[in-house]
Amino acid sequence: MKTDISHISAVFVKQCKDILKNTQVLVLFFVYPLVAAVMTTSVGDQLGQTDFFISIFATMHAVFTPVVVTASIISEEKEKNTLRVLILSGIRPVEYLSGIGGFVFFCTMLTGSSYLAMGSYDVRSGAAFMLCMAIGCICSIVLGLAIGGFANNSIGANALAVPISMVISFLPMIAYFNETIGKVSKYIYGQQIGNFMLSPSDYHLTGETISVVIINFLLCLVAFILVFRHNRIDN
Amino acid sequence: MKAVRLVNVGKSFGEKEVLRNVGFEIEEGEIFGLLGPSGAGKTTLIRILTGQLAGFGEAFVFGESCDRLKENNYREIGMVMDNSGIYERLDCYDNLKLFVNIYKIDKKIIEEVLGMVGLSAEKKTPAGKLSKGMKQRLILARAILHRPKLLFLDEPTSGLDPATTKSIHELLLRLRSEGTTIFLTTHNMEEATKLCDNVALLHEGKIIEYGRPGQLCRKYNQENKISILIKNEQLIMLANLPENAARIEELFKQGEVVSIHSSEPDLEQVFLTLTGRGLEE
Repeated sequence: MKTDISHISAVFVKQCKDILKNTQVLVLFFVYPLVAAVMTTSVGDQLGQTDFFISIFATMHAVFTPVVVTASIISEEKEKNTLRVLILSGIRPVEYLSGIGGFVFFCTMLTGSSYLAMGSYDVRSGAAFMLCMAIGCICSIVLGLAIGGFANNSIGANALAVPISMVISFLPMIAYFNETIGKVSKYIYGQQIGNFMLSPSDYHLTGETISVVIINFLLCLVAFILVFRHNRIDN
Repeated sequence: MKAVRLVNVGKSFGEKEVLRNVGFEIEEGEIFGLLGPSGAGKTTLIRILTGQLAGFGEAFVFGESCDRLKENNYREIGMVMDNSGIYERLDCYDNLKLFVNIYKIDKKIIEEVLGMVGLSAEKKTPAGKLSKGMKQRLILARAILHRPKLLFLDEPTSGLDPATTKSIHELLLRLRSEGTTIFLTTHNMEEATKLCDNVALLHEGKIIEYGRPGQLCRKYNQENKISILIKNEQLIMLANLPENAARIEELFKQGEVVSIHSSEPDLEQVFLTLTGRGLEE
């Protein structure tokens, strides 16, 4: 049976309406851009570290927010049995997951584009910055899908999603000040994303960067597939 | 074609056998009631029929095996389950709009359905702020939004006030008159008697009786007596026999009769007779 685009858009539109009334989740899309804006305008110029602050908070935005939001949405739908209703109305799991994933991606990229206004990016480096954010966001959405599918309720999902995403998104920041941590964190996609975002115009992609991101993505995907098989969302 | 057909359906959860050799058929356009106390297996049977649970035996909905239901089959089914979720932050209109988009039907139906369940005034109220009865009506509105041919209702009026219950009953009778087949589970024998064309009594996972509510009550009319309340508050009990016809006629002629009842039991008493326990237990 083919995937029905109208089903995906129905889920997407539903989620757009829902998020506007769910301020606790909505604020996650704005918190890091706002903090970055405050930091860059207040102390960034004085310290000459504008791009540093942007890269730190953009990494958190691209990594932390999608994991927590995706896991939160899916676990809440499972907990409140709305997911069951959707599946029984003919929505296929892939359509539902695409609708939710697409929504989180759209919101992350939309609010994440505000970082472009804070830094001094030309078209090429701005596009590279956003591409890098998109890659981090996709990895995080897949990880969030796995966590949301695994957890039985939203409390359980947050208990897993927050520490995991904090490790992935905060380690790059700590690694700037601690080389030992940097030796470990370079194997996490958050670190590679953060490095790229720090200097998108002159960052030279290495085999290590590409392979770390791909392996991390595959690990998230395997986790998601295992969770989906073991704890099917349509069961 | 039968709307529902079950042949020797069974289900076990581990060691516990929840359903045993369940079999019956439901004609299109009838209201069928599955009666039984809590834990009898009513919800399990609905979950098997709606493809949410695999069981033994054969279960069919409109000729399609229940373990192979597809999107087009679900288009013909509406459900009100005890665990049917609603989006509490979205208002009533948007809760239904989502399913209008999924079913690709005209959004004008939303206003009509909200009117049918008496929620027109609450159109813009967040679902989380509705009372229990209103939430149940919203779930019912969602279940009938796409005009399903078969409606599964799992204790749709449980815990609701009499006015809401009455309005839901009226709606169900209207849906039946429009050709919808309704599969209803309840432990409310009044509801079953009032609404159902046929009922099955489920006890410990087994169908112990099946038939029209009136027929079942007459079948288990063991006393077979006529009780007559006369003007001096005296209750006269007479065997339902031809030789007592003259006595009853005489009481009527004398204008003594305040009320007269036959002694057939209600479904609750039938269930009690068959199992030794009540439906509400």
